[in-house]
Amino acid sequence: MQVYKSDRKQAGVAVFEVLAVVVVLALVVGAGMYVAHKHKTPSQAASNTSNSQTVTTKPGTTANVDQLVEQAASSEQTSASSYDTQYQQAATSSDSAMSNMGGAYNDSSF
Amino acid sequence: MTQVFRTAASAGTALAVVLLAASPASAAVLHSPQLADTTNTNGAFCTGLASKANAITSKLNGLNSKVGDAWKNQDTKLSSLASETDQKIASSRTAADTKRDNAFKQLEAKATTDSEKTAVQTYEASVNQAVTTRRNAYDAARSAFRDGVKNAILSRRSTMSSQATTFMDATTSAFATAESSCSAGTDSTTVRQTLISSLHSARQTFVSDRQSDSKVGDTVKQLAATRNAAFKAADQAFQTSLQNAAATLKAAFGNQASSID
Repeated sequence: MQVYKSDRKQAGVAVFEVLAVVVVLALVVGAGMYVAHKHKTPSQAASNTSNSQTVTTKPGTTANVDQLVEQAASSEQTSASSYDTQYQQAATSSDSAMSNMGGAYNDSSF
Repeated sequence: MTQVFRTAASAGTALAVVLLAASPASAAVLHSPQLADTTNTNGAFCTGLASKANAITSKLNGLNSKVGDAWKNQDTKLSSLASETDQKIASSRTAADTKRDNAFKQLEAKATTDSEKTAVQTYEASVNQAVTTRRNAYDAARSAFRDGVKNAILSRRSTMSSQATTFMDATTSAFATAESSCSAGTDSTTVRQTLISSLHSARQTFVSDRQSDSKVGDTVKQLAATRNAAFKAADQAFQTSLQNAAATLKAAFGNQASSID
């Protein structure tokens, strides 16, 4: 009888643990999706900018040509500058490796 | 007498007092165990020095190797960014060419006379030329940006590499001096203090030098600003060319100009 009670208790604990793991996983996945949504890649952002450009001028006019070529120029600028932050990060990406050399030893430990 | 001391104080203290009272020579005997301990410690310090030096050298080499790896990754990342940008812009240009060709066709459809048709062709050629000039200017600006970033990084690497070499050499030298001093029989306490001081100095110099390194992130920002300014300058020339081409076309269309405006 004692053994039966203990088994039921253990089963209850196991179910609780599984539920806890499921909840934690759901939270992690949810947070990941939120972060991914917030931080679109520059190429995605540039693509979205390019796609969102709408033509407001009348077709068959010089204004229409002007608008199209100016939008194209703007799109190129966006594509180029959308990587600036990544360039900055890449430019300093080796800094930590170099700084680690300074921590090669603790001179006072000798 | 001895018994009295032993009951009045601890055995060690009593023994010391007794020995000191006995003779000055006994005092040396009293302190000899301490001297022997110090000698053993110092001996251990000198004996283990080569091993410590090897360990530190090995660690420094490992960290230096990681810097090399970080630089390789940096090159790969920069190359990837350049490639990604180029692909994005090439794709954008192809799409823009298609849209422009379609716009030209719609404009051509409005030209009814030969002179108007010729004017439209001239206009198209002018716009295409303006686009090509603008694209070339953009390419040159982007290329200057990349070269600038690359040069800033290479220059900084050269400086950092020199700092790392100085640091490693100073560390190696500090250990070599310590080992040499140990071999020469210099008091190991002095050897140790000198080693600590030298290593501290080497590390402080490295850290200090690193702090004065150029801020490459700021350089990248400045290069981006310069590139964007070049974009704007190209845009202004581009706008002027477009306005001139449009004005010429409208003049050719005469009183029908409103149909293409």
